[in-house]
Amino acid sequence: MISMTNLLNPKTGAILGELPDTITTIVEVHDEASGVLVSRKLMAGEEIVEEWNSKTKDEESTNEN
Amino acid sequence: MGSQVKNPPSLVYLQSLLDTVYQAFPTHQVQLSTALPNASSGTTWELFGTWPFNNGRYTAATQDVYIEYAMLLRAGTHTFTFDGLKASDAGIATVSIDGSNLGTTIDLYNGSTAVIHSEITGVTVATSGLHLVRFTGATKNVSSSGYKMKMSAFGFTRTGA
Repeated sequence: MISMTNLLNPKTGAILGELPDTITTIVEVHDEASGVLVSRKLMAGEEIVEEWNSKTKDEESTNEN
Repeated sequence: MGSQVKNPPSLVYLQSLLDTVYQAFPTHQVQLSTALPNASSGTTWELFGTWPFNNGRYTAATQDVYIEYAMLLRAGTHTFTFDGLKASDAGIATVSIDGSNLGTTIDLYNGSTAVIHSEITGVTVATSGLHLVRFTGATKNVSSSGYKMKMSAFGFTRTGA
């Protein structure tokens, strides 16, 4: 799901936050079997602005599992 | 919002990025999409609504305006979903993947503003990889005053091989 303005929970579609205009690309990695989000990169052009993975503790709100 | 908007990366770069992710996560499912349009034409791409409700972007009111996103799709059958707003100056959105129309259009005209959730089932994607999803305001309802497309979100749910 692509939102024009918001960052969404990939499983539920719930709005997690506002997507800055500077973000051009979203890359997400999910576990094939469970669908659990493993990694998410928010990029501005070719620059990684924000990176989250399942081992990161400070952004657990983006992984509602 | 309001920060300086950057240009989306090229498709060549997106493909190289995908290759890197595939190598790092060979057994996982990967999603990649451009958050900003990969391409557009004749559009004033502006915000409507108040975050986080009825939020999104709308295009210019001119005929044949289009916006295009790059996204990773797996081969198979999908259900396409579209969320946006109907309006008195909105057109009929023609949706295409890599230049092939889905066959069903989305009429975004309504006399007053109203939320729309639309689904198109049975969308076939032949090959897995990056695809270009384009929305074109090619036609309009006879009662509409324009061709605007007011979009909040869209996506594909894979329903079969």
